[in-house]
Amino acid sequence: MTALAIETHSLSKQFGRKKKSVLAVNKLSLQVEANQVYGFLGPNGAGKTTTIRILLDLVRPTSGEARLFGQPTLRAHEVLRRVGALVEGATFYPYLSGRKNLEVLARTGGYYDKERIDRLIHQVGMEDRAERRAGGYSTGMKQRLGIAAALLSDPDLIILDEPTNGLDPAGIQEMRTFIRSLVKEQGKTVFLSSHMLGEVEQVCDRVAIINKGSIVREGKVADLLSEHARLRIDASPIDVASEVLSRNWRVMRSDGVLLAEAAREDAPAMIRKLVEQDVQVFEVSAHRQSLESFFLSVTQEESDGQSVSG
Amino acid sequence: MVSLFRAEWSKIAGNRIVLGVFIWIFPVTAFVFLILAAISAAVSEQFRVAINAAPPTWTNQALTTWSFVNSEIGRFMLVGFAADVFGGEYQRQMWKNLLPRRRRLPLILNKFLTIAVYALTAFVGMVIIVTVMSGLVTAVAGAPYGPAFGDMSGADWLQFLRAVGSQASISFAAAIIAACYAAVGAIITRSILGAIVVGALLNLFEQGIAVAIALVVSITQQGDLFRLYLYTPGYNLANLSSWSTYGNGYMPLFIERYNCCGAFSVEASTVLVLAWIVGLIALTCYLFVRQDIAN
Repeated sequence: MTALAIETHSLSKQFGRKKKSVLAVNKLSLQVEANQVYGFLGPNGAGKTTTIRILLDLVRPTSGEARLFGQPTLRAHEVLRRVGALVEGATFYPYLSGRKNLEVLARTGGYYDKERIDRLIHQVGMEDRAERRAGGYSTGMKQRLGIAAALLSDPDLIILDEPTNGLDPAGIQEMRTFIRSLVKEQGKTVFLSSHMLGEVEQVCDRVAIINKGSIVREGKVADLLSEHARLRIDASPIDVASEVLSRNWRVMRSDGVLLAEAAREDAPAMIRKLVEQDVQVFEVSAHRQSLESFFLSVTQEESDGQSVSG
Repeated sequence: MVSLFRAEWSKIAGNRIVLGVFIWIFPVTAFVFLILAAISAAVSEQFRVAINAAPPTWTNQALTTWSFVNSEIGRFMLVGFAADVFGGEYQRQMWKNLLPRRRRLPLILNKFLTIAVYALTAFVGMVIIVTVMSGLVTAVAGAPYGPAFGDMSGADWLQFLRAVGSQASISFAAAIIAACYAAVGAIITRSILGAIVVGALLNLFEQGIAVAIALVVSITQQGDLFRLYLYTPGYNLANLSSWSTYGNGYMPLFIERYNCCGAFSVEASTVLVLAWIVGLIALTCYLFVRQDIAN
C-alpha cells in the first residue's frame, strides 16, 4: 500500500458562534497518496483554504483530525518540517529584499543554507530581482518567490494554494513543468489548490472537488471525466434523430448537433437505430468533457440537490 | 534558538523606519541634544556660567539617564516598537509563512527576547553617550566633570554600580511591561494600530488607576480600596525606584493621608513586578497559541 501524505477524518471547522457561525469545512475525509500531484478544487468559499490552514496547523479544527505522513498535525510540529506551503498568495516583508526574506524564513525554520537559497532563486528565475525590495515585486514575482520559500526546507509535501495567480502564460507553463518535475524527478508530493481547471487537468494525477466544506467527487482525472461520457452526433433531420435516440439515452441539442449521455460502446447501436429510421448520419464522435464542465456540473448538482432538499 | 533570534533580529533590522523612530531615537536624540549643548556651551557665556554653577557628575548622569526610559515618552516608544514587531506579522500576513516552520511558543518568546535586546542596546547606548558627551559639554564650559576615578573607593564603585544596576533594572522592567501591553494588544486586535491603541490605553489606565481609585474613595470613604493600587506595576516600579534612590518606600501623598496601608518592601515589589512581566508574557503566549490564523 502506498504511503499517505495527507489524511483527514471527518474534519470540520466552524468559525464564529451561534447564529453568526459559518461551517467552512464539514466532515471532510480525504486521503492523498505520496508521490503524485493532487488537485484540490472548489468554488470560492468551498473550504479549500481552511482545509489547507488546518493541515498547516494555522487553524484548529472544531472536530475531526488531520494527519500528514501518518502524524497528527494539531500542535505536533515535527511533521510540518516535511511540508512546504504557499497559502493564499505569497506574502513577504516588503522592506526586505527577496533574498533577505528567504534568509529570514530559512533561519526561522532552522535550516538556513545559503547555497540552497541561491539555487532556489535560480530555479524560480529571480536571480536579477532577488536583491530588490519585495514591496516592489509584481504579483507574479511574489508567487515565484513564494514557491522558493515553500521549498526552503526541501519538503516531502508541497502545498500550493493558487500558485499560478499573477503569472503570465509562459510563467504558468514553466510552473506546470516545475510542479511535474517535483514529483517525477524529486519524488515529492504536491497538493495543488487552484481555480485554473485547465491547469489542474493537465498537471494533476487525482483531484478532489470540494463544495460547501465537503468532498463531492474524488478520483483520477481521467476516471472522473469518463463518468459523464457523451457522444456527439451530427445527423439529419435532427428532430427525428433526437426523438429516436431519446427513447434509449438522455439527449440534448447543442450548436446544431446532439449530445447523448452514452459510452463509446453504444455508438454502433445508436447508428443502427438512426439508419433504420432513415436518418442520415454524418458523424458520431466521443465528446470529451473538460474538467471545467465536469466541475461546473458537479458543483451545480450539489447546489441543486441542497436547494431541493432544503 | 540562535537561528530564530538571528531571523528576528535581521527582520527588525531591515525595518529601518520603525527601528529608527522607536529605538535608535534614544541614543540619537541624546547625541544630538548633547552636541547642541556643547555648541551652546561654546557660544553662550550664560550657559557656561549655569554649568559651572552646578557641574554635573558622570555618576549622576549615568544614573538619571535611565529615568528617561521609564518616562511616558520612553514607554510609548516601546509600545510603538512592540506593536510593529507583534502586530506587523498579522498586518503583513506573515504568520502563515512562519508558523509551519517553528512552534508558536518559541516564535513568540523570541520576539520578547529580541525586543529586550534591541531596547537594552539602545538604552545602554544612550546612557554611554550621555555620560561621555556630558564630559565634552562640561569641558567646553570649563567645568569639572567628576568624580575622578582615583577619588572613588571600592565601596563608592560598588555603591555606584549597584545604583546603576538597580535603576537600569527598574527602567528596563517598565519598558518590557509597556512592550507586553502592546503585545497583548497585537494578539487581540491583529493589527499594528490596534496594538498601539491598546498598549497606550493600558499604560494610561495604569497611570490613571490611582486617580480613579481616589475618586471612588472620596465618595465611599473606603480608604482600603487604595490597596488595589499597590498591586499595579506602576506603583511597584515607583516603589522600587524610591527604595533605590532614597532608601525608603514610596507612598503617594493622597494615599498616605488615609493611613490605610504602608509601602511594600523591595522584595515584595520585586516579586510583583516580575509576576506582572511573567503574567503578561504568559497571557500573550496563551492567546497566541490558541489563536486561529485565518487570514
